[in-house]
Amino acid sequence: MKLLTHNMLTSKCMKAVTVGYPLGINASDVRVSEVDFNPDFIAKIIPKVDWAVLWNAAESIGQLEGLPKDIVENYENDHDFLKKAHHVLLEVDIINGELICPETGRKFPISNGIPNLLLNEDEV
Amino acid sequence: MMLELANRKILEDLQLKKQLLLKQGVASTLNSSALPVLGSTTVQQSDGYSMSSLQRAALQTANAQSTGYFISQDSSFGNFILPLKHLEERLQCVSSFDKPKILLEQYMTPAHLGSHMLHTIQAQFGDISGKTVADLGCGCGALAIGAAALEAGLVVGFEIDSDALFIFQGNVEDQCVSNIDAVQCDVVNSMPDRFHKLFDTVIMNPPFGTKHNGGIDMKFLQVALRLSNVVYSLHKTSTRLACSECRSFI
Repeated sequence: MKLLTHNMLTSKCMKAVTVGYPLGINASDVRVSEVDFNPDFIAKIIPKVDWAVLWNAAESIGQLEGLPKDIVENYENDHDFLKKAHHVLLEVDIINGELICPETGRKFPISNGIPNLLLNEDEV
Repeated sequence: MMLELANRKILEDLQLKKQLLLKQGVASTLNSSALPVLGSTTVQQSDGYSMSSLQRAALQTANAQSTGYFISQDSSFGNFILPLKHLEERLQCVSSFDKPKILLEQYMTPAHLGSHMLHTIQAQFGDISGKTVADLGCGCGALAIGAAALEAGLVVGFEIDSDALFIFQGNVEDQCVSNIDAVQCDVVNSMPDRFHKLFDTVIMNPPFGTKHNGGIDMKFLQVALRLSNVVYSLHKTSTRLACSECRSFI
């Protein structure tokens, strides 16, 4: 699971959960895999991302690699910044671990790189 | 009753948009009875290539003899994207379901159909390369992996079934694509809402709703339209597989 995907996941579908965001990460196996760098794509995706959540997620698994805490001005043309964002958004892959609902503490397993957000009938 | 009404409304809406597109000449390959007139300026402008009269005649013949949903030539589009036959060869190597589950309507998108669909989406509309792409009900990942091979920015597959995802992950490793991710969730009932409008494009081959789950294809379509304004989806008409390609601007 990439951190861009994590940035979009919520546990809001559970009953009694109002926001369910961001999900905590407990990672036991993190891998970095190279992905082709497309600066235009990264520049386009940054406004859609909750940057604080991304930064905290990267920090919690020790993969910041110098990512600034705030989005820099004029980032579209800042090659260095886009490259760092690219690394954190797409190249960091959580292979095994769990996601944690911030309100109920319900744990969602991540195995083989895939988070399982399926709920039991009594949780919906 | 309400649902039926809503479904009919969606279908009518799609039909309307399709007709609109056909009028504009953008989606002329959609309609088998209205094969593209390749000599027209519209086609030449939209594709940005020119062909010799011999090539054009050959393409016309091929189109006339095929079912006519897709353009079956790759050389016409130049070498900017992965050649069609290479894409098809790659998709042929994607493993399928070990034991398909009838109730989930698990069947693989055939390599021929998948590669032609993806190639047309990229070549004619430019909706894959450098885009965020979602595949709803991705199964073993034929469409998702194909989109990743066509250099999507990121492809995310959504699937409910663990066994299918296990094969999906094996296929991703075999095909060496890294711009791809998967999430196990119930597409119809609990799609995380932060994904709404994140995606540039949705491609999918959803369940058709023929196994005691009538209308599920329409539910997939509704979810898809919340994720993106551009949805490419395969659907069944009464007797044949029809590609209802809808570029919707909601």
